Amino acid sequence: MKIFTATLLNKFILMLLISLFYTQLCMSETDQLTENPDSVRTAHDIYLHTRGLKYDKKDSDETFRKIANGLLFLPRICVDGLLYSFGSGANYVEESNIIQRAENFLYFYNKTLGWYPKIKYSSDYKLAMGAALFYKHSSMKYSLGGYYANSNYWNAKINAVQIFQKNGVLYNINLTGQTGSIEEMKFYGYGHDPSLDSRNHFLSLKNEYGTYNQERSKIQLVTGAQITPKWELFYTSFYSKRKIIIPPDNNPTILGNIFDLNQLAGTVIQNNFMTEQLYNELSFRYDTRSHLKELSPGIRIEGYLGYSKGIQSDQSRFIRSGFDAALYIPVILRNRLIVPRILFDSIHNQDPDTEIPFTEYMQQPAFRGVSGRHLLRTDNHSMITSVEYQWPLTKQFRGHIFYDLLMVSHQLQNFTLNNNPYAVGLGIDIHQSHSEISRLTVSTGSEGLRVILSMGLSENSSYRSNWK
Amino acid sequence: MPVQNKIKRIYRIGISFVYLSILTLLVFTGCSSHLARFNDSPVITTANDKQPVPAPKSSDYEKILYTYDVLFRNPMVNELDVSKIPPAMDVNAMDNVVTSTWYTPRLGFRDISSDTLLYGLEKTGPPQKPLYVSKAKKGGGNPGFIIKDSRGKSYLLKFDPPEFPGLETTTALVVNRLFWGFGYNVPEDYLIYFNRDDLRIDENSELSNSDLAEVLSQVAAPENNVYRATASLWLSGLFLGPTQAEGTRKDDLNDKIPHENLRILRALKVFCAFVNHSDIRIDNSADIYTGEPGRGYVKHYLLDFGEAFDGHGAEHGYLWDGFEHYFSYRSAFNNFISAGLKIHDWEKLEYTPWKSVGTFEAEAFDPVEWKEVYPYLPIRSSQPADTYWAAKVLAALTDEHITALVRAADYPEPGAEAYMIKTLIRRRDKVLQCYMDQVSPIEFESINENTLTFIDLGKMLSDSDSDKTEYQTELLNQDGKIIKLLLFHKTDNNRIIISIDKEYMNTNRYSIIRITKIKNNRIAPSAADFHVVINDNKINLVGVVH
Repeated sequence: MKIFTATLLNKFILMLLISLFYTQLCMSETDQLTENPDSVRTAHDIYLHTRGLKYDKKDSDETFRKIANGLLFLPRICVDGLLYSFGSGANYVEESNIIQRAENFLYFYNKTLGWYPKIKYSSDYKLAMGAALFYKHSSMKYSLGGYYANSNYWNAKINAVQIFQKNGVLYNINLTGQTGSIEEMKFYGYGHDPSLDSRNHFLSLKNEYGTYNQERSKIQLVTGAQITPKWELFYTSFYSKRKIIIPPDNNPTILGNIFDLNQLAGTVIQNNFMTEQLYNELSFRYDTRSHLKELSPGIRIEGYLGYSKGIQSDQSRFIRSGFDAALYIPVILRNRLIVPRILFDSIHNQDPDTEIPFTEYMQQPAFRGVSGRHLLRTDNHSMITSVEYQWPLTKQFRGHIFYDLLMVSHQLQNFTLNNNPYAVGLGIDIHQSHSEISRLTVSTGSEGLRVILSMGLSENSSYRSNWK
Repeated sequence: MPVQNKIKRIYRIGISFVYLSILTLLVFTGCSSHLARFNDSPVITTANDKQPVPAPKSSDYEKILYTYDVLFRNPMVNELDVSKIPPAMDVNAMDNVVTSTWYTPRLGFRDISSDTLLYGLEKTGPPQKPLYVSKAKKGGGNPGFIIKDSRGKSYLLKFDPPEFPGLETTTALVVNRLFWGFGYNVPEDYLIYFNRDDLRIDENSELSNSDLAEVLSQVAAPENNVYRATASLWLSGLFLGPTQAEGTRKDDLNDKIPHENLRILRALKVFCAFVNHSDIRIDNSADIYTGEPGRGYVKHYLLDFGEAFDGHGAEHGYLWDGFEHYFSYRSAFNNFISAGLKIHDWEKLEYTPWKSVGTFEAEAFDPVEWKEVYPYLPIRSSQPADTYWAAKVLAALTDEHITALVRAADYPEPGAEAYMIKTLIRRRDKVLQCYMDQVSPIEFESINENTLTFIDLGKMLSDSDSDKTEYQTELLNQDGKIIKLLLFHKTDNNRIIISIDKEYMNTNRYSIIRITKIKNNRIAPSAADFHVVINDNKINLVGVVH
C-alpha cells in the first residue's frame, strides 16, 4: 500500500512539474503582434500596436508569480465566494448614514422594506443565527425577527416604534413583544461568595452552579421624550412571564442536583416554576456628549426606579432602582477616551412574607466576564465598576480595552473589593449613529477565556439606550 | 541484492533525475528576463476606438454592492493575488497617452492659454433664462433641479449646502475646467446666478411651486434674493451608465483594454490628489453612446466635481478625507495595534475661516499617500510611469491658469480667493516634487549626428537650487546587457548631452540609452530608457520607457 501510494505521489508530482513547465512556456507574453484585424484583436495586441512594441519586456520573477498565483487560486476563490455571500447578507441595521448606503441592497419595495442578519456567538455558548425584517412608513417603523440555534435556544421579537416631534420635544413610543427559550442558564447562588452564604442550600458542592432552561415571554411599552438635547425621560411598562425548565436528564449540573429547589428562594416549585410580573419604571438619561456616532468626551448618567408586582400565583413584589454613570475623558485629542463607569442596581423586597424569585434578581449584561444570561453573582445590590480605553480604528470601527469588576452585596455597607469576578479584555465594535451593531470581544479573567461575536443590534443594550 | 530492489533503486534514481531536470529548466526559463523591443515605425498618436458599433446595453450600478466590493471584498481578495500590475496599455512609443474616446491632449501637449482653459470647453454656453424646471431632487444629499433653458437645452442645477455657501459652486467650476485641461471629457459646467422669478415649472412637469420651494429651502440661502448654482449641461447621446473601474464594457467592441490598465484613469491618482477629488468613484463618471444609432461609439466622461477641494470632507465632517479610505483593513489594523497612540496629521486639521473653502489646505497634504474615499482600482493600480506622465501634464498648469480659474469661480468671502490660489499652487508644486522623484524624469529633446540631448524635467520644474544632481548613463544592447557602463555625457543647466562613439555609430544595431538620476546621493527608483536604432550613422529614437 505504501509503495502504491508513493508511486502515485511520484506520478502526481511529476505531472505537476510538467504542467508548470508547459504553462510557463505557453503563458509567455512575448508573442509578436498578431495580424488579426481590429475586430478580433485582443487587449494585448492593441497594447503592443499602440506602444509600438515588437515584444514586451519580461521580468525574471514572472514565472514564479504565475506559479504562486496558481497555488493561491483556490484560497482566492474561497475568500471571494465567502465575502460575496457575506456581503449578500450585509450586517447593517436601520439607522441614518449606514442605512443610506445599505438601502439599495437591503431595501426592496420602494425603499421601505428591508432586512438585516443577526448572529450571536460566544465561546461559552452556542452559535445562533437569524434575521430581522423591518418596514418603515412615515414616522412608524416595524420589525419582526429572531434567531435560532436549537429548540431550546431561540428568540422571536416583534417591534413597533414611532418617533415624532411635538412642541420642540422629540418623542419615541416603542412597543415590543418577544418570546423565546434559552438553555443552559447558570445560577451560582446568592451573595459575594455563594459557597459561604447560608441562603444557598447546596445539595452538592461538586459544581459551583446549577443549570436550567428558561422560556420567557415579554410585552413591553417604552415611552421616551428628549426634552432637551442632553436630557431624556422614559416611562417603561412590561409584562413578563418566565418559566424555569429543569431538563429531565442526569446531568450533574442541573439546578435540582445542585440546589435544594424546595428552599430556593422564590416561587420556583410552588408556582410550577413560573413567575409573572408586571413592571413599571421611570428613568432618565443625561448625556453631554456632542456626538454619539463618534467617540467624544462627556458624561452620561442613567437612573431608574421601578416597581414590580407579581400577578396570578406569583405573589412577589419588589422595587428596582439603580444608575449607570460613565465619564468619557479624552486623553489624546478628543477621541481617545478613558471611560470609567459604574453601574449600580438594587432590588428591594416589598413583601416580607414572599421571597423574590431568584430569576428576578439582577443579571449583569455589562459584565463581560460571562454571558449576561448567567447569574454569576447576584444579591440585593450589585455593582459593576469598569475602566475602558476606547479609540477609533476607522470611521465605523472602534477598539477598546477594558477591565470589569463585579461586586454584589446583601447590604450596601458590605461591598468588598476582595475575591470578586473580574474580566479584562479587548475588542472591536462596529458602530452606527447611536449604538453598536456588531462586536468582537476577547476577554479573560476570573471566569476564564471568553470570545464574543455578535452582529445586529446588541441584545444586551438596554431599552433605554438605543431608542433614537 | 535482489533484482527487484535493483530495479526500484534505478527507478528512484531515474525519477529524481527527471525531477531535477524539470526543476532546473523551470528555474532557468523562469529566471530569464529581457527588455522590451520597439519597432522602428511611426509613433501612434490616436487609438482606434471610434469604430462604429451598435449601442451597448446600459449597465447597472448597485451602490451598496459597489461600496462593499471596493471597501471590504476586493482588498481581501487582492491580497491573495501576487501578479504584477501590468504597464499601462493606452500609451505610445514615446510613453504618452494616445488620443481616444477617453482623452484629448491639452495641457502639456499644446498651448493652452488661461482663456482657453476657462472657455475652451464652452460650445453650448450657460443656460438662458427663464429656466423651466422639469424634475426636482429633494432631500438626501445634493438637492437640485433638472431644467430646460429658453433654448430647450437641458441642464442639471446643483446648489451649495446651506452650511457651506459657495463651497460646491466654486469648486465645480474650477475643477471642471481643470479636468478639461488635463484632457478628460467633462460636461459643460457653468456658475450661474438667478432669482426665484427666473425659475418656472415646465409645462410637461407635474411639479408644483411648493416642490420648488421645498428644494430651495434645503440649499444655501440666496444673497439679496439671488441664488447661486452650478448648471451642468446634459450630455447628449445615450446614457449607458457609469464607466466601470475594472474590466471592459463587454458589448462595446471598441473597449478592449481593461480600464484599470488605462493610464488616463491611473493618472487620476495625481489629478484627484491635486484637487482632493476624494469622491472619485464609478457613479461620478458616464459612458455616453454618441453618433448615429447603430453606427456610433461610446465616449467616456468624468462628472460631478462639486465635492472636490475637500468639499466632501467638510460637508460630512470627515477630516480624514483625502488621507484615508472610508474603510481600510490596513488602517484598522495599524490603528488597532497602535491603540490609538499614533496621531495622524489629518487629526490636527481645522476648518479654514471661509465656509466656501472648508478644510482645503496644502501643508498636511501628501500627494503620494493621498487616498480617495472608496478605493478606485485604476488609482490603486497606478505605477510611477503613470503618475510621472500625469505630473508632466500638471506641470503645464501655470500660476496664471490657476489664478484665472479661481477668479472666475467668484468666491463669495473676502480672502478666500487669495487663499485658494496660494493653496492650489502649493499643492501643485508638492505633487510635482513627489512624482518627479519617483522616476528618473528625463525627457528626450533632440539628436544631432552622434549627440543626443535630454532634459531633466525634475530639475527644471521642481528641484531646488541646492539639490545636488548627477546622472549615471549606460549604453545597453537589445538584450539589456551593458555595453558601456559610463557613457560620455555633460550637463548644461537642465540638459544632459550624450555622445555616442563614432565607432559605435558605424554599426547597425538596436540599443538602449539608460539614464538614472542621482539626486542628493539618492538613486532614482527607476531609470529612463531611450530605445534607439542606429542605422547608417543615424540615430533614431524608437521608444521611451520610464
